[in-house]
Amino acid sequence: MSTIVFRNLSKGFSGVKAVDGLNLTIGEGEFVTLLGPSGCGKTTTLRCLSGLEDPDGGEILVDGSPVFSSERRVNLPPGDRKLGLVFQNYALWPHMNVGQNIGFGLRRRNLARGELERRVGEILCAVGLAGMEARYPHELSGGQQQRVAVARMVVAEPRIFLFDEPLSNLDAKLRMKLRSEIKRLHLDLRATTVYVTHDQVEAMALSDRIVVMKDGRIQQAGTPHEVYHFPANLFVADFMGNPQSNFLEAAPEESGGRRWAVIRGGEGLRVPMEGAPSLEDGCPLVVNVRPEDVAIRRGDGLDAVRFRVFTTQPMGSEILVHLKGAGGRLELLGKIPEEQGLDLRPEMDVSVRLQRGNLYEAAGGRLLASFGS
Amino acid sequence: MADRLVLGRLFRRPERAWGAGLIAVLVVLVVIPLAIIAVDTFRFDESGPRMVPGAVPGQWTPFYWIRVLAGGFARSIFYEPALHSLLVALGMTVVSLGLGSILAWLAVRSDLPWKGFFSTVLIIPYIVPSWTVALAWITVFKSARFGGTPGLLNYLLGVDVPEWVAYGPLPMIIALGVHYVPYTFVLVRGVLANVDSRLEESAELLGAGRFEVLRRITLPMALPAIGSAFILTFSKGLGEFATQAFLGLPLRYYTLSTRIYSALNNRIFGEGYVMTLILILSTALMVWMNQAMQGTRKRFVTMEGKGSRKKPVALRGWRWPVTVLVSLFVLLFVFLPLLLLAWQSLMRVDGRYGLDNLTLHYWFGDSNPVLAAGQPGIFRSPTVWAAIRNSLLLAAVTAAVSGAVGLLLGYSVVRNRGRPSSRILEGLSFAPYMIPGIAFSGIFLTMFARRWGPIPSLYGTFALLALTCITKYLPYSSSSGIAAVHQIDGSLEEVGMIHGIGWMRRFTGIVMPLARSGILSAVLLTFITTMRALDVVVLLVTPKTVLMTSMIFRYQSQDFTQHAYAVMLVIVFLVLACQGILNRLGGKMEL
Amino acid sequence: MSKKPFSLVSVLLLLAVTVFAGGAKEPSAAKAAPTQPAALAPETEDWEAIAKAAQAEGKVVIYSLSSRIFDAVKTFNAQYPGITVEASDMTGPDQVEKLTREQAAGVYNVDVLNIASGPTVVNELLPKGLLKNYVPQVLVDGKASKDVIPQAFREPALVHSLEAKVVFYNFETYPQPPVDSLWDLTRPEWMGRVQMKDPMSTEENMNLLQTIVQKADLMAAAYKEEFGEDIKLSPGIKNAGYEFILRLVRNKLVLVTSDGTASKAVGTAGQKNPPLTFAVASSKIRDNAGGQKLAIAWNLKPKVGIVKENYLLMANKAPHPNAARLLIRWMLGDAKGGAGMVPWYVEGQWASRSDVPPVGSVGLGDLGKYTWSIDYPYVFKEGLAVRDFWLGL
Repeated sequence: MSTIVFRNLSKGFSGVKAVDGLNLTIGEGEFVTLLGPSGCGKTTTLRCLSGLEDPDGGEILVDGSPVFSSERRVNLPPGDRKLGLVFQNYALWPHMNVGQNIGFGLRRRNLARGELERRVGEILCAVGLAGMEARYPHELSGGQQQRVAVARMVVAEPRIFLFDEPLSNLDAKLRMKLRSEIKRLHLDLRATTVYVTHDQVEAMALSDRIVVMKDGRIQQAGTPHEVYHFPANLFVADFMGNPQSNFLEAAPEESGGRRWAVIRGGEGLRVPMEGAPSLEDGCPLVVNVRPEDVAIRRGDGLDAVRFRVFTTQPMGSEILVHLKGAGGRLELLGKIPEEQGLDLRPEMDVSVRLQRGNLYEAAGGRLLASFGS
Repeated sequence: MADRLVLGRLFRRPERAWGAGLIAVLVVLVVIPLAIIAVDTFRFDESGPRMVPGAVPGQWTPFYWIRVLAGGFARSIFYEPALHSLLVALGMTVVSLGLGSILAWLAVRSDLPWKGFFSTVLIIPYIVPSWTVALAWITVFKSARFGGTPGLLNYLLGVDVPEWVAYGPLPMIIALGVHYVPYTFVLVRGVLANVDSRLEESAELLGAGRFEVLRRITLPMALPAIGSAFILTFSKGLGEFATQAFLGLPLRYYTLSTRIYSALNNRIFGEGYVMTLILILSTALMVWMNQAMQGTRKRFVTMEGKGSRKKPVALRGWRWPVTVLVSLFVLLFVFLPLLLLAWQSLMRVDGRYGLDNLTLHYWFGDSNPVLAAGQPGIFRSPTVWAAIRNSLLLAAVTAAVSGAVGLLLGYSVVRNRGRPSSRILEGLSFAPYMIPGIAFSGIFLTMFARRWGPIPSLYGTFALLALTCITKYLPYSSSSGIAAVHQIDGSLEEVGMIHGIGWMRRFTGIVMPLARSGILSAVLLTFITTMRALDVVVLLVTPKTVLMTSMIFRYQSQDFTQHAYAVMLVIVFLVLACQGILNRLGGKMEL
Repeated sequence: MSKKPFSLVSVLLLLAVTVFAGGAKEPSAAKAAPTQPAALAPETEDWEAIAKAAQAEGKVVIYSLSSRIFDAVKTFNAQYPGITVEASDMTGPDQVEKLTREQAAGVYNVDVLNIASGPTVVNELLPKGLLKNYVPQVLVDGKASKDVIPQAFREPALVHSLEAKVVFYNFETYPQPPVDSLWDLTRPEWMGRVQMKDPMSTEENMNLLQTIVQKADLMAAAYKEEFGEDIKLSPGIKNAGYEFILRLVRNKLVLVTSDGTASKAVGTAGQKNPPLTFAVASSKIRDNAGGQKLAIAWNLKPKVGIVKENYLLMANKAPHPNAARLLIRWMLGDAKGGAGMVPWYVEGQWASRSDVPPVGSVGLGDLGKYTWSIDYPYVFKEGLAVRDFWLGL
């Protein structure tokens, strides 16, 4: 299995930079997801890696040798890079049946007659489509077609597996199922995988590392845990929220020998600010707290502050609670497990504590400090 | 109470009433004439008594069928010309599809330079009349033996080409093939654009080289659509008339269309109509085969996703040779014919191609009894001016009415989808396509050159020409209309309905503006097609309703070559100018 | 809301009506019933009255097979300025087609037809009453028509002029005619060098072929004279006439679309190997004025070709009968081939008036020596067999 290095990769379309000076290293056997909104450059990066796009500048090294290098004037055609790619729309050839689709990549290897059929049969078993060699793509369901696409990639034994939003065309249930199968595939084969998606849940479920991108640049590259709990900037924090995160305006304050970030309009609601670089007084901050990290009690009893329940939305095992501050200017979203049994109703008074979260510079969005456990 | 409900529904959905009305009109204009023609082939016409002693006009007889299909002269009346028609149609389809496909691939998928220029210029052979290349060919290759005066080649090099090069099926195939290159070019270009590039990329990733991808992925996927293009082009080739008339006669190389013309022109209607019916049936068969193919096609057309930004194939070493070849093609078959025609129109005396022989007489000169039997230059002939006026008017009226009816028809078909009336209407609107132009001419002549109750005879009227052209070219507008309305989601109108906006306002305020571009394209295409049409009108024109194309035909048969070519160039100019104007207004040349 | 769809209907109807109305301008026929003369070949005519009536009518419509009609129109206009002449040049079949259809539809548009198409005219149009034969009693220069126009040229139809269908050769290359018999055209040295306007689209040329078949005996005799032995017919060939046609075609006869093409091919100056024409109108020889070198081979055995009569006839229910009569009389010309006859008073064409001297050496009376006339009943009834034979070649 192979390593991948991107050095200063750039690619523009009609004057717009789709990928802007990207630097990334992917280790052997790693499952890395490129995550971001549309237009962030993730698909372009993938296509540059595969050779389907020609970058404007930079280098791409696979296993230490360049497949693309603008200084050394190297640009291997896609077929020579030994990569596999599964497309969003499966890209199965409609005029060939399943067996021919899968066998296509093996044709050039001059295998013995029966060997090709054997391998095709094997891989079909592996993806749960045994015996379907003679079927045509239009006779298969979406999920089956996607499995054939995966089989086609795997059977050719590429160095690197590439996926370009493969599950976006499927319905929710099927998506879950196939997601699990892709994960299992990775665990079994341990292939270096680069996966592109805009779905952060998917990214977190599958990846060893997530690379969050925006406007052609990497915002953060880290494990799912890191990216979720310690987003490097406001954009990442917002993007990773599920469903939605709390972003509260705050300002720094010194009190009792410690530094605090005081929530504006929060009537005393504040969080400790430790380990942050020195800041000017009054420098605007943003406090990011995930809904599940908001502790709620009826009446008084917690840190501060009176909030009033605006709505509660039961979601099965959890309840989403929408709170509004006394002054009416502050809003909070909380998520509590159902069995907490608080029996909250609209217009009730509650008190909250922000248990865990991150502090960001309002201008620029840089992560300053974290608080809580 | 029930009546009011029905009427109310009708008013709210007038497209149902329209549908019925249009069906009725089309039945009268297309189905009934066809039926009458079919019946008439089994009866003696006025020439009957001269061919069969004792025959009475109107009497039932299988005579004409036997004469055409099984009689002693059937071979020369029918089978040989039919074979010739098939041969020419096949040859021309292969040539035009071959060239068109290559050019389309180059335009869509390669890094050929000057693509914009080539794309614009390659439309020209289709815009100009189909016999432009034919006439230019004659100018170059004619010899003293055929055509009286030596052609350009003879003049320059003193050699005569063999007669099968100058006339007959070979130049017919070349001339028609070139004429239809833009047609196939656009068809194949559309096909290639719809082949999802990701399918080709998948193959590339799996190690397939450029040619292998083309051969094993692109081509098989495009094949059903190319097959469809083949059938469409072939059926058009069967119906062609003018080129075969000009290039076939000196070698007595007849085709079905020229045979039909000869029979109808000599008033042997029974014979002419039998051959017409056979031609119509063959074309209908082709079209039906095409429809059957559509089923397969659907599987092969994939959705356009966002990943269709495809890297163009680098031609590398082939780049300049290919560019040179394409430029050569454009030069030889697009510009040279026009140049030759212009030169010939300026020649005082036939056969001398030197600069000293040039004159503007045939364009602007007064009548000179020594030259061309005293025919004045074209711009001094009131007949020519009348012809120009008539042609423009005919083209404008046909395009406008056709466009309007096409849109209404499209609306009726699309909004009534699922009901049988919609299918019937769609099928009927396509029917004129299957009837070759020359047959159309003959059918409408028979039908409408007599009184029908209160409707007077239309013989010799402009109305008859207009009616014939509108009906013949309806398929273009109706398919554009259907496609255009199809694109307009029903919900757009439903919002209007909920707001209480009446049908008329919805149609003019929502449907028409959104359909504008599609309809303009159909209007443009109809205009150009009518301007250069000969086969549809050749049997219908009279001195009062003279058209530019019929004038060219007459001039050519009277050997007034300079006049013929001059008028031809006027047509070319007018047609190009109109295309330019309509392009500005938003219509594009969608073939 | 109920009005709106109907407004669109009315818009479309309006459009249709304008298109139809544009066509309705076409039948320019005067609705008023014209004053028909009692007889069409009157014993006496009052030309002053006719001229006055013609001026009142103000217009006359003529179809002519010759494009020289426009020149005749100019002279007519000079003479009778108040009368507009609407002239159209159309081939014979086109004229027949138009006349037949219009009359069947009750549209009476045209006054005079200047047409050849003898068999159709004599066997179909005249008997059916679509055309009427009108002979002016007195001609332009005061002579009585029955004195100067032979009866054969007055009945059953009035002949305006005659042409012959001849064999042309190039007199620059051949000071003497290079052929003396029709059968020479089938010799190997003339292979591919004989041009003819396509008989399928030219009635008279088909008539010539039909006449050759009719005169098969003469053809056989001419063969014997030329080759010194009896003719041997090819298998399936009925007579010497058919044999001639067969051999002519086998000798690579070149078909062209117009007499002009053929005559130009022969007559252009400076040729080493000019071809011959067959069945080209003799009046083409007037092109010699423009530098052509055409000469007619009159002495071919048995005959050089056929003679073609161009008629002048009045249409049934002509809308302007008096102006029509005026025009017909004008076109018959005077004893010098002048006035209305001028455009056709050329070598190779003969006025029907016997007192008009011919241009060139061959006179009207000589024509019978060199040409056949068309046997209309024969051609009308038996002609299709020859046409079919031709088709089969």
